[in-house]
Amino acid sequence: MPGTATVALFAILAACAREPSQSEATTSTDEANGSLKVITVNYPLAYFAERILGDHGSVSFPAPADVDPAYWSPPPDVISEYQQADLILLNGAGYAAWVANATLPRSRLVDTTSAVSDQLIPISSSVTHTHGPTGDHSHGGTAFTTWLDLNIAVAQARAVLEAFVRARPQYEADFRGAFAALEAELREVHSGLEKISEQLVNQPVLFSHPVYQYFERRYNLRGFAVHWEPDEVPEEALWRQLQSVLQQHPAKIMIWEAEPLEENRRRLLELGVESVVFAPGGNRPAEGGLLDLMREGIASLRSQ
Amino acid sequence: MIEIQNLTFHYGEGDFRLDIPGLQIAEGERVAVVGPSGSGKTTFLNLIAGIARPQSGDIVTARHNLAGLDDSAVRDFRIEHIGLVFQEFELLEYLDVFDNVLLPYRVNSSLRLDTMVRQRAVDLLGSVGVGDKLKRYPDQLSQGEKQRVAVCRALLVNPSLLLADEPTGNLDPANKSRVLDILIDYAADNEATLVTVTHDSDLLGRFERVIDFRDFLEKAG
Amino acid sequence: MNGILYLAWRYLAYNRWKTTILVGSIMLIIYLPVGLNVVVEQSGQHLNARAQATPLLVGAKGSPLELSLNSLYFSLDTPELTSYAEATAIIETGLAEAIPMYVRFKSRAQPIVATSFEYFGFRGLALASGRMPALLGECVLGAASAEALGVGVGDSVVSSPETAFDLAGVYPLKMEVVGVFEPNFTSDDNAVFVDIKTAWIIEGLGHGHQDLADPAATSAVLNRTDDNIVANASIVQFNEITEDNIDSFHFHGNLDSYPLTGVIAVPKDEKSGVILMGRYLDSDANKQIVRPRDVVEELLDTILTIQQFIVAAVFIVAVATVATASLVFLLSLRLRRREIDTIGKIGGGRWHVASMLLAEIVIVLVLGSALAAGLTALTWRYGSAVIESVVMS
Repeated sequence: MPGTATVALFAILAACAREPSQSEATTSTDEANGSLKVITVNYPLAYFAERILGDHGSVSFPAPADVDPAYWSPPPDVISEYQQADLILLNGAGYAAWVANATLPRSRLVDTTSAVSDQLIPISSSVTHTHGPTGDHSHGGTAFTTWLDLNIAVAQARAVLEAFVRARPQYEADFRGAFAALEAELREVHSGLEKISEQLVNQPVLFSHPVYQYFERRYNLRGFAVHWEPDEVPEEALWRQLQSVLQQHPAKIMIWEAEPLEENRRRLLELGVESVVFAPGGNRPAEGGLLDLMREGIASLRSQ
Repeated sequence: MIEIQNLTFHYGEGDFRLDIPGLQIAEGERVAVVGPSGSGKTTFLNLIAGIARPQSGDIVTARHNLAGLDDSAVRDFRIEHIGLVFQEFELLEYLDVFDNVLLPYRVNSSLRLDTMVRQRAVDLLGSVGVGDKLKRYPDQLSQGEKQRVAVCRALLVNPSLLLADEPTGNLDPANKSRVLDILIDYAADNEATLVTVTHDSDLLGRFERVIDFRDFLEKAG
Repeated sequence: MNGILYLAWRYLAYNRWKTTILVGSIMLIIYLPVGLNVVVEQSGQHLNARAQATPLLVGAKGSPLELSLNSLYFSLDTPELTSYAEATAIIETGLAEAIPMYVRFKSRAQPIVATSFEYFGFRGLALASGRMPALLGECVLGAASAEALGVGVGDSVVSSPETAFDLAGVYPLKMEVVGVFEPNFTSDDNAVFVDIKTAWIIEGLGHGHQDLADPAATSAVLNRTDDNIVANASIVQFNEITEDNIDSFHFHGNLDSYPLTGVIAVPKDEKSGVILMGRYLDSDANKQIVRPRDVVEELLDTILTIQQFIVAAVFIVAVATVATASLVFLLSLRLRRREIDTIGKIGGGRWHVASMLLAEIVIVLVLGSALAAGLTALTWRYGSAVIESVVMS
């Protein structure tokens, strides 16, 4: 360690200023009118934020309508939008991997599932690999469509509420009132799903994609996930694969993320599988809101 | 022009003593002063010029009784009326030829240095054969050239009295003659009085009168 | 007067070596204390301003001065390392904002300052061109840094290896310059700013590599089982983060264990700052919290003491110089006796002669003073930048 005299000499020589710069901890908040700029990484969070924020700010969700926000990587100019927001609502659970590689102001990040991190579902089928001195490590992660467990959805909405109250305490009453209304609706949807759960108890189901882990766990479904796109006809090999799955897992319904092609619906029916749609709602729907989507999904399930 | 009455001079407590009961030098007269070393020839010139002050007696130079003038007035009088030429030239080593000639005009405010004076200096230097050496320094000149520059310095103020203390003592025969010609020609052309101390008997014929300081020594002794 | 000044000037010009030495001596004895004072004043102002603008610093136990110099002025003498957990801990107290700092690497002579987005707002840095860093592997340069490295937006810089033989850890990472800040006349001007995670990648704590399932990586695979793939060292690790490979970059383990050189804590208010300080001071843990302004104040006191010693020494030298110069002058008077006599004989006034000699002294003093003033002005304008570039190199 250099001696004090050397360090002191360095200090003498380390001057480089004629004018000191003014510095203060700044955020991009518009303190003058209390308006809050919020930006999110997925539609459910945008929905919660819009419901709770009301007129006290703006909510932005910049992912294009035709992408899955979980796998979207925004360009730098969009990341700048995130940087300028007062609050950045994150889903947590590894959703939107781009966040890990982006420069975002930590003080304005809100991890909406941090309070329920013990309820997150690790993806156990990930492959580990080994290279270099650090030993085994995995690139697997966590299931991230957390809001499909409506209890977690309520927790996420509550995290949004608390973040808003911290940022704008003067509107606490409004925020809490709006949250209460939202929570009531979320609980209502949850009750609807619990009834479905009773209906489908011990019944095997299929999922078109492995995005229903929380849904499956919370509502006690016995599910098996394939990787089928609603707007594509799977190859014959995949149909054969499905048939062999059905022998072990005789599902009567397949839950799709979106309306499947008629051919898919027909061929599944031939195999004794009804198609129902329960859209996860990761991105903004063309019509309606998140809870409308869920209610439609409940209706679709109930009809089976 | 120069009148001395009952002059007595000595340096401090030393043995040297100069007594001149009476001496006159007429205006325009060319006088050579000779005598053995230590007889007071240089002192005589200093007294005439007011550089030294007698203990008693009067010296009237160019109608000015120097005893009645203070030091500053004597210097003003000297620089305006008397041109001095020295055996060792006494040029300033850090001034070029042109600036050495102009020196009197820079060391006394009673003289005003203007364009006419500068032109006169150029003309004088040209007339003595050093007109192409205005920017040279003394250490770049020959002995003869140095003395000619010193003579120009003495002549620049148009003196009515020229006092030269062995002006040719350090010169070769050709330059001796040349320098003496300059002094004598100036005196003749300007009706100036020329008093020259010299050891060179060959030059005595160029003067109208010779004052032998042995006379003053015998009278004193 | 003109004649006197002219003669004095000609004498000095003719004796140029003597004049140069005298003028130089006068210049030095005036400039040394004055110039030193300018540098110390500017240093003090800069140090103070920067320190006043930084409320609290947290780091590993060690020298508060080292911690301050590294975090505030980007000295590459790194203090003992702390961890990212410290920043997390500060945030979790709710008492202050935490700005992580990792100042360890450099790109040629410019320090790489790894930090968080909040730093830029905290220091009031404004962009002159380009944009803020958005992704791993991007950097924004301070104004002086961009000039020193000769790069601008769209160019790239490379991190320098810590040692020539450091093959296993810190390796050169090519980073795209996405922005350049306006000058703000602080250490920030000399920095290469990156996201904290980019620095960890430089250190080798994070990396990106070929997808091991990719057929192109077959040669790198030593062993493959159902749930584990072992790769050898030939696996291609990326030394530049691009749009194509950014998704492959990852970190292992908990980021809270990753290293920092310090954390700037910006308390919400004074009371929060006091409480935060109290928690660290009460703790036995291997940590320290410092108030940079206190550290700098102590340092400036030391600098002032050193300065006073230097000024005292210069004063003694000045007395000796003046005495020597006076002796030189008196000796030269003796040598010029004949010249002075000649001037007197041809009718030069006593006052003229005295004035001429005095003018020589005055000219030397004026020249020496003017040069000292000029050097002081240059020191005021450029001194700190020159000194910093010497220190930084």
